[in-house]
Amino acid sequence: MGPISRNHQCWRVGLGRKRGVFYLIHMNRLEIVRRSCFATGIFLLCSILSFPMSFKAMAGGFLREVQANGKLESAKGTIYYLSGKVDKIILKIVEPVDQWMVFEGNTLLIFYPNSNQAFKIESRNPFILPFFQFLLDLTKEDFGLSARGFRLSRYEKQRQRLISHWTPPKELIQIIGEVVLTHQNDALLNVQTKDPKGIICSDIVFDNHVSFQGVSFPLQIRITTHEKDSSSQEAIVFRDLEFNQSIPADILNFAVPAGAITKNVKW
Amino acid sequence: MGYRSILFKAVCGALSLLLLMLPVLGQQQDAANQARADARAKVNGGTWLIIGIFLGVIGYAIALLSPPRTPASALIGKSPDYVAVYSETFEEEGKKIQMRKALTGCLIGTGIQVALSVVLIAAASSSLDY
Repeated sequence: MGPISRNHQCWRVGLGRKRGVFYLIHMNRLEIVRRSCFATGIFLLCSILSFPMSFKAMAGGFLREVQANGKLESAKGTIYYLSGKVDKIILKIVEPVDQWMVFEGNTLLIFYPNSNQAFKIESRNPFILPFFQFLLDLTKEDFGLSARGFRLSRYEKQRQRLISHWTPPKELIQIIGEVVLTHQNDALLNVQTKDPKGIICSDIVFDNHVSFQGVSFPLQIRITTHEKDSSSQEAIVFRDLEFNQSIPADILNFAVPAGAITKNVKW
Repeated sequence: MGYRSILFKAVCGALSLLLLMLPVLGQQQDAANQARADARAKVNGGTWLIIGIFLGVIGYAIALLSPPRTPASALIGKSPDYVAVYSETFEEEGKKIQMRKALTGCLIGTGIQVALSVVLIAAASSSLDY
């Protein structure tokens, strides 16, 4: 047998004339390195992007600080999450005010026990809590990007890190240019969103990871958002995160007391 | 002397009330300002402009009826007064932006349609002349 291509030489080691023919492919060093990197990258990408995860409940303390327009605001409390037909997120805030926030689908309930006031906001769109949504997205394959219509355009390896570039679906192409994810081992370190001109719109850094069922959850999230005339920074620190533990009944079944002054708002 | 002391007490009382109200009024003004800024940042005027261009009056009506989504995280750790003012202001400001952009789009779309009609009529009448 002659060479198959310019870069390869092939020898046939035969066990018989037509059966059990084995080919040994001889490649030059550059080709070996190139194919090894490619295979390693594909392997890492697949292992990172597929999460066999069952995540029913979560609870933990949080401290959230937001710096915008020269002001620093903080809030501290406990967050509870329960997955179901409609996911439920409960925030029990203790500083700076006593406040309950219950997110359930298209309804947001806010209650102030000290003044016995409540707001029930119903929206046509489901409410989301961005800083917590990141944690939920970590349990999804490829951070939930494919499900939202994003497409992997390219990836690269830099030392120990895997950087993947995602292009948005058609309906978002005028707003988002690309999303860049940076992974190290199994941990997501960074998510960057760029506008169509390549300017960074938001930069999310994940740090201090803890592992649960093969998924690395960050205990610290820092979000920097750049808008037209301003930028803001948001920092969230979680503590004592517990997964799939039962949530106390008084939290889970929280309801506004009968005598509370409730304002209904419809969006 | 009697009426002077009453007047003095009344003025002091009014001033004290004003001083007590200032932080609350300041917070409400903060809520309103933040809500307007968030509405301008978060309501996608470009989308409503395009909707107005292609859907015309219907696009404008949709903008009028569709309230913007309030960013829920903006209400974390805020007082009841803040939440009330913020929610109302955000909705009003967001609707204004939506309506303004949709109306602009509607007018642009109408202008384009009129221009196209004139061109078509002119083309049709010139072809009839031949």
